[in-house]
Amino acid sequence: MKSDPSDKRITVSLVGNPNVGKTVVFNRLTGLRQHVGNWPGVTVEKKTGSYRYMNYNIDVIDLPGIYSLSAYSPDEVIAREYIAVERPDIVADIADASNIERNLYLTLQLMELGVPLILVLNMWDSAETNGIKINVDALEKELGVPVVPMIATTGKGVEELKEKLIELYHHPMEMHPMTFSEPIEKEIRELTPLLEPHGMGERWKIIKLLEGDTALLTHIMDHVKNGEELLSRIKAARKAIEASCGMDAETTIADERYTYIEKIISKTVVKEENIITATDLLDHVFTHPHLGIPVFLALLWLTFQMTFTVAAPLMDIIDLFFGFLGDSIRSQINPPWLASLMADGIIGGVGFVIVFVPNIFILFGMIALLEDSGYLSRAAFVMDRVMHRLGLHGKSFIPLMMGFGCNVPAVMATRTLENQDDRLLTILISPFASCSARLPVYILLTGAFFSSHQGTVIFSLYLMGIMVAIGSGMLFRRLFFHGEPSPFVMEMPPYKLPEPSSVIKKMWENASLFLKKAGTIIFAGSVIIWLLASYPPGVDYASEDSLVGAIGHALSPILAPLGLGWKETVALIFGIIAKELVVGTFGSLMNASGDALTSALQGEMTPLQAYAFMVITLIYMPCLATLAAIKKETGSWKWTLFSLVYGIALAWLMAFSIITIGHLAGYR
Amino acid sequence: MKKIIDDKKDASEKEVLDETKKEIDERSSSHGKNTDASLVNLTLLSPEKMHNIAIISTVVSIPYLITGLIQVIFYLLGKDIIPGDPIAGFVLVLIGIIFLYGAMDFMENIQEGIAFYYMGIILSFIFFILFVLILIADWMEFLLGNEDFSGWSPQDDMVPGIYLVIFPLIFYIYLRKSGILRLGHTFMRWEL
Repeated sequence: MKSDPSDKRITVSLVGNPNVGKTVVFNRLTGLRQHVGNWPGVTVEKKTGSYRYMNYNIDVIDLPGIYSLSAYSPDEVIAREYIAVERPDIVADIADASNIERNLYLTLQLMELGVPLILVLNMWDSAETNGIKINVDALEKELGVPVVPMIATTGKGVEELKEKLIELYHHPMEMHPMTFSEPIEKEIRELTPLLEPHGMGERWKIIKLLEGDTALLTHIMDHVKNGEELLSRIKAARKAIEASCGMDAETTIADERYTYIEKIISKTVVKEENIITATDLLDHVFTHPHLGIPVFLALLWLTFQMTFTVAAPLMDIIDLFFGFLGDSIRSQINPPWLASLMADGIIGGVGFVIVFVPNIFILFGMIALLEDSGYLSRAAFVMDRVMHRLGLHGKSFIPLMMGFGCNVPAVMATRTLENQDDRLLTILISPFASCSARLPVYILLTGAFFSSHQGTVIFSLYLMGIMVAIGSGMLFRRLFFHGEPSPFVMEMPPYKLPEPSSVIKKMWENASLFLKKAGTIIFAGSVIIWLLASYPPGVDYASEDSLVGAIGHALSPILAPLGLGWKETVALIFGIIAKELVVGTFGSLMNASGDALTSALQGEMTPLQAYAFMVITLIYMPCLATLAAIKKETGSWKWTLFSLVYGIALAWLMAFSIITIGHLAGYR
Repeated sequence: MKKIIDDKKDASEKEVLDETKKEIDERSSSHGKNTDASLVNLTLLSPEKMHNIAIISTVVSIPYLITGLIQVIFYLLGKDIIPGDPIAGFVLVLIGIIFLYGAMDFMENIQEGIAFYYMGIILSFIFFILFVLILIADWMEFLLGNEDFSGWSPQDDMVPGIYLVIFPLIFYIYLRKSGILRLGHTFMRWEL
């Protein structure tokens, strides 16, 4: 028995394959609300939380999903380093009960590592639906590890897990790690004394070295005295295994692990054969070689129709409210400069951005539906066929899809790519995915210039974002990242009916972020624009003689070949801080909202110029937050600067081409 | 769940496994081989039945294909004969093609073709809901007095995706009554 439990802290780390519901378990245990999604790679950094149970303070660490204790991608490195080096008190191995064979591969490795282990069989309901019956007691006896069945989405099994964690902490079970065939066991026995004992994990380290784990070998070589001897003995052992087993050591070890898993499964699991699930039926069409991409495009179009057309009346209601508020302030408040600041600056800028909250709500709701249902992985799979042919990696498509929400997590999501070149390339193209901050710009301009086909025009811009990303990726592959992209391996999670609470939560989280941004950055930006538009004293508000007019005129020659004026130039400059400020700037500079703003914009631009302006907004440069994420993830100012300059140059060229081709085709 | 585990604790390992196997065998024999009876029941698909279903699904696909093509072609020609835009036309063509794929599989006695019917029906229902929501949104715009909707009438938004849904609906009712396909199991928690 350990010391007084009243001040006892227990550290529990959650590990498991990608997309087995680790984050849902984490949220259930800690009461936190980390982002959850039905696709692999949601967690790319370790996350911590804690809860109190029976006088114990339990710290929970949610680690990125891993298939084994090898370290190929950055997220795998994070998980392995934590378990092997930090050594939590207990490792909770979260497994997908409906896919237990594959999940046990990691379990066996964790047992080799010798960490106190508990196996959580999550998605118990999916297993039952798929005709899989698991004998929990038998599995516990076979592995020598406590097993807890769980349906984390409903909370079933969570209390039992909490109980068992405490029990395991005080009474560790005797694990039954697998025994390899004699040629491998002999090498393990002979090599183990060469490692300096650190308490635990020597057996695991030797097995990893026999598997050819270069990262671990380098680490050990730096920390042992007899490094050269160890290296030569490892090489000899690998050759000996190959000679006696007929396969290289890595394959032999993997093969024996799977054979052992089969043995365990035959004793503990019964599976109903030939069952047809909804996942089988849906995948037959969603991943169909000819229908997969058209269905994806149709669903994308549906998403944008929902976002723009269905949200339109809600926008109108908010717009009417702010219009009324602005008019009331102008007529009621004195002195006039304060009325102008509030009505033209704050309501014209911030209020005009808040109008777009319904669109943000619906867009994120649709993305959450696609994500939680499991469709996003299929989208990546069908797009891989095209992308691989163009020299890109199919997994690059997931960050692009995430980028529709926000480019910052999209850049971070590239951590799931194992190959460094693939990853860097994907970071550079991710900002071309049209994020939700650009949405207000599209809605404003399409409403003014393309009202009868608003959804379709915006759909074309999103599609253009994807095309630009793919085209740029091809170019970068030829110029900087020579060679083939690595093969695409990604798990297809089972389809699930999204939980309404999860979808609503994601909608609210993103909408509240948008509102927070409106209350801070956009508020400050609007006040600055108002000041620049009102000074020097005595000038007409937002006239060419104002400071903002001077700035716009100084930089407008850049956009002059496109026929765009100084107000558009100013809007794009402020859009660098946050894209929503493009709209806020128009609202402030034109001193109008609703139909009046539509008329003002129609006086400023032609439909062709409006389309070119939207293309510039799409491409010209990521916002400051995204640039910071690029710097952090690439660790390079060179690539960050490149991303900036490339975006600006490409945006100008694309807009110029649209204007030129449009004129040649007879459009204004 | 704890009760299930506790109940099983008393039985020996072998007994529990045998019991589970027996339970699964019973389920399989009562519902027929190769089936998850609640979702699809392929044992009911004789070659004749499959051919009949293939003909019905072809009939379902034709209005979608023709209307979708008309919508796209006439839009490109600048004539607004059917309400809606070209992408909506493309969606109708796609749904028609999905039903046709199912028909082609069933004509060749390939049972997996049921997946195309499953998806065709789901997609036609999903897009029906979208088009109805658009109609409601535009009606609200009209009520709010938006200038762009001053002369709006429900006919303006009566796009083919709304009324064509009657074909997959009848097809689904037929498949469900025949016991071949039922939406609502495993993926959908609610049933249609």
